[in-house]
Amino acid sequence: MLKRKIEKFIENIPAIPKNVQQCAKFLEEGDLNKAAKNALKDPAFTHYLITLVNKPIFGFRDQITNIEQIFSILGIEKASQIVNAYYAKLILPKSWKVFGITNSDFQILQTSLIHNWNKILNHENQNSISIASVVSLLPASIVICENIFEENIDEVKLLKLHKNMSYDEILYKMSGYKLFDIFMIICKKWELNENSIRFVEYISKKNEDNTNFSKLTKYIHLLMFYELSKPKYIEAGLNDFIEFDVEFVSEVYEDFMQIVESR
Amino acid sequence: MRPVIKKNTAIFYPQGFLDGLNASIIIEPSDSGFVISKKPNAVFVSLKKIVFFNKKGLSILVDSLKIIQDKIHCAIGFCEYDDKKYKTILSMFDGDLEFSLFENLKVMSLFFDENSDGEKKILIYNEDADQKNQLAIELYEMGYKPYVAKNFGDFKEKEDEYIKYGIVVHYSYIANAEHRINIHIKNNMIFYILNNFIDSDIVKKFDTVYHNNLLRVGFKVFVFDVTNVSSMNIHGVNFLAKLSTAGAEYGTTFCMVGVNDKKLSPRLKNDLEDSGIVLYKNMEEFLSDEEIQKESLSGGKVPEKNKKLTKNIIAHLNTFVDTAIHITEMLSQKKGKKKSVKIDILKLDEKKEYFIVLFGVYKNIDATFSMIFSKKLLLETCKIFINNSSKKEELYDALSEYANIIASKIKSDFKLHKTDIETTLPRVFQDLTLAREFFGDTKGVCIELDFEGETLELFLSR
Repeated sequence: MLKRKIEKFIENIPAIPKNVQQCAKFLEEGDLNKAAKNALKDPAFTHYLITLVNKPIFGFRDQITNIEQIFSILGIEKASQIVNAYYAKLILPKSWKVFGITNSDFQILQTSLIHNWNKILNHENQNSISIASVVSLLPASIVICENIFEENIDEVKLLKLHKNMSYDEILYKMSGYKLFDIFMIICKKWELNENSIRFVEYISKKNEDNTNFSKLTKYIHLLMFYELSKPKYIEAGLNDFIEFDVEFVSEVYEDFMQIVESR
Repeated sequence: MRPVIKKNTAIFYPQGFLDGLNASIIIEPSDSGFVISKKPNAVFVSLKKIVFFNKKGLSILVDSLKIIQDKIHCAIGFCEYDDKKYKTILSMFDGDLEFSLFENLKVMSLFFDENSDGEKKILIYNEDADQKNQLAIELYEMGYKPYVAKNFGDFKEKEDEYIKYGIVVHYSYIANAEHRINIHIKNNMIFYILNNFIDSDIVKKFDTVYHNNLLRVGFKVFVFDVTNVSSMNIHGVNFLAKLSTAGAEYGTTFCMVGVNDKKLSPRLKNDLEDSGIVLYKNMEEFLSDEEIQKESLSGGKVPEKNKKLTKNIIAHLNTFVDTAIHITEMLSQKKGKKKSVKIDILKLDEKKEYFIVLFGVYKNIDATFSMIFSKKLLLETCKIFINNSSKKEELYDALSEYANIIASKIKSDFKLHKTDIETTLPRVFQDLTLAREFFGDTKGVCIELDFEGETLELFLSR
């Protein structure tokens, strides 16, 4: 029953608009100009971009509305992160029932993750665009969770009163799927580049055998819970949508605190 | 954040970071109200998934826990941490805590699980000699015989053996336990462990709702263990005598163990005996009373006059059945349908293996709702609660959790229809002879449900 719901959800995932996909492709190739030109062809994406980059967290003094200017100020790394954030926007629900947030809260979570992830990548001298951009897509796993449990939320909440389980564990026990398995299927459907998909795979399995990815995987797991420990997200019931692995992140904890607490 | 309520404990499970900013969100007033309504014996915050905490965060949580403690006299504190976190908490609060610490859930269950297994091997060691003694005394009271390590060398010598075959209590701390009355269930009897002085305060400490639940689900023998009580006054005695008189309706027997002339005057002794409480000098004398032991094993039949089905029960049949189908479908991921409905007695085939759980419903509706599973369907339905094991103990626990969910859902469905009901704690029958005796010739509505070839039987009776 739940399996059918998951399959239906995956079937209904919208395709990425052609011009946005082209924009992502040019960013991967490092061509900001062509990327901006393609972005301009999609009015919904342009509107999203202008609204987002003018939020205080991006730190621009004056309002910027020129897309080419936005792309050149952001640079390839941040522009790619914003394109991925837009991908997640395509599957946002009209209203949230499982978690007590709004789409605007979701966007704030995405931008805060981007902000801190970039600090971590700078500290680690990591400049892979694929790894940088995954961070804004990760919260899509929350949207997946929202969609799958929306119909049965009362019963799932009852269940959670009797057993300490994350939504991810409940999903797995009931359907054999983990949230990240579904997330991965969607990433493939959206034709994300191979490097991004491999990184997502490492995040989902918390794989330790690749030294390049291993440390970053720990950082991103800790970063997720750094954000989800904020009062707003605890109140929204997001704190336990997946399980936090304290032991897994212990190696990077001290560095992490120094990085995120730095200005 | 809602806690997980299991057996007698409520545990909050925050993840990630715990500080002054988010601590007040972990236990909000609505969460406190929810916990208070459930009246657990212990309310704790797990630190298992916490990577960072500070004094401000813990203090805010302790304040919230104290509000709950003041209302329901439960134990409070933190659990599931390593030695590093334990030492940090002790130093943060200068070694003087107003809350308890239990290093893991196994240790915690020793103090709060009513179904204590006195034979469990337990090793206790704590650098603070007072704490070591306090932990040992409390466990003795709960019916265990722990080994208390003389010194660190002695502890290290025995630690491995106890890790393998028993439970090690090393980084735990017990706050003043005067707040609560310990309860445990042994050989189908309920033991209330009373301490210090029994006076009018007992009214506040005694959980009457929980006690009434135990009466309703058919327990026959209740024991007040007063071994560690120094004395009792008229107010305390009156309260216990009233419980005994009220229990007579259910055919229950109340006993008091550990009575002597020093703690009880002849007049008070008479009052207790007049109310029907049987007095024993010590546990040995009590355990050798064969009559009482035999009585505890009688299934706890519902009194004859209350056995008949009422129109009121039949009118609400669908709420019970629909909830059972809906929840079982969700948990087992199998489609369920009603196969047959008839009024009859519950027939249990002697050759079959059943897993039976029931709970009582009272207030605006007076009924008993039983669910009878085959092992296969139980495993499918409760897979979410069990860790790839089919140990009977774990299955019984899972069955109890399942019934708790059904009970909560039924309660909320009735509330929607403006019918106020309460439900008792579930009772799982581990012995089918007891179950047969319990149901006897009571007539009720038997509903057979089919979940893709597997049967779940429901039995709704008075």
